[in-house]
Amino acid sequence: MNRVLRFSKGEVIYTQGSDADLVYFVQYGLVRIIKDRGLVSQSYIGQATEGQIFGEMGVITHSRHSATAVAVTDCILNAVSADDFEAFIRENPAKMVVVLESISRRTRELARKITEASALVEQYEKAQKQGLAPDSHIIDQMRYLASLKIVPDNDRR
Amino acid sequence: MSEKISYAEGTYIYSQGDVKMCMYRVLEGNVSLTVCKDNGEKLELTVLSQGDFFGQTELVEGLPRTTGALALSDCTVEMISSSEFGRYFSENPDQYLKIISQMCAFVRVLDSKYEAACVSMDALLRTDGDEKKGLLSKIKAYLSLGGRR
Repeated sequence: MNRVLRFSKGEVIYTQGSDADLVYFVQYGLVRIIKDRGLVSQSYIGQATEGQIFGEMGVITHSRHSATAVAVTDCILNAVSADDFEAFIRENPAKMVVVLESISRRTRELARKITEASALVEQYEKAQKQGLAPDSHIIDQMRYLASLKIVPDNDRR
Repeated sequence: MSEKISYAEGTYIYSQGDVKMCMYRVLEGNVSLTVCKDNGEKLELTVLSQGDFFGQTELVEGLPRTTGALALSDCTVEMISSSEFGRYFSENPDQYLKIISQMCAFVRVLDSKYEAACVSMDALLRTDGDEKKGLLSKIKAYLSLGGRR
């Protein structure tokens, strides 16, 4: 039902737009999820390390991978096929929390980004209404968001 | 195992910031999930009805409540504590699969709205003309988390 896969540092595990046919449980290593935003840039979406999962979104929603997964270090992964996923979950209730936790974290991170962007836009609009130029730090932050070049917090300089 | 609790219309099942390691399912009535904005204004994110689950994200992540849950009518909810979670869903795997597919669909919607907002923000920063106003309301619509106001 599940098989062990090994990837070397730098290897692509799956690419954005490919069929989502496996859910991956990380046994060892670090995986980064990156989204190609067309002409604009690439953004960092998230990462998964020991005990965490990735690739589940596409499998659960029966769609293609919305991002690319890359091995940041050598990795050992446990892969469950899309066809077996429901049965796997039924037989491994302990994994229910792991899967739900991963989706919850993603929801919360997105909601946080949306709230932050919303606050910036409100400040920008307020300045506009008063006929003032918005503060340069607001413009800088908006420009950063608009670039969609999101980098992991620990990589930011 | 799980406990049934009734709430009168207008009372809170929990408030934003509360810490309680449990989740709920609506058995009867309607529940509104709200967030408190910085200016104190309450924004309704969604209205739940019979069969819907809520509070699961904070339970699995071990976080304080990120929303409040308000009884919109007299309602009865089923409370599932963290110690009951595994047993509850191994007995109801279909419910579990329903929750995760709803949440995944929600993430996809949020992600595409966020991306659209960022693209419009890029256009906003590049223009000096009258389009600014239209772009601003477009961005705000993309970023509005609320379903109903």
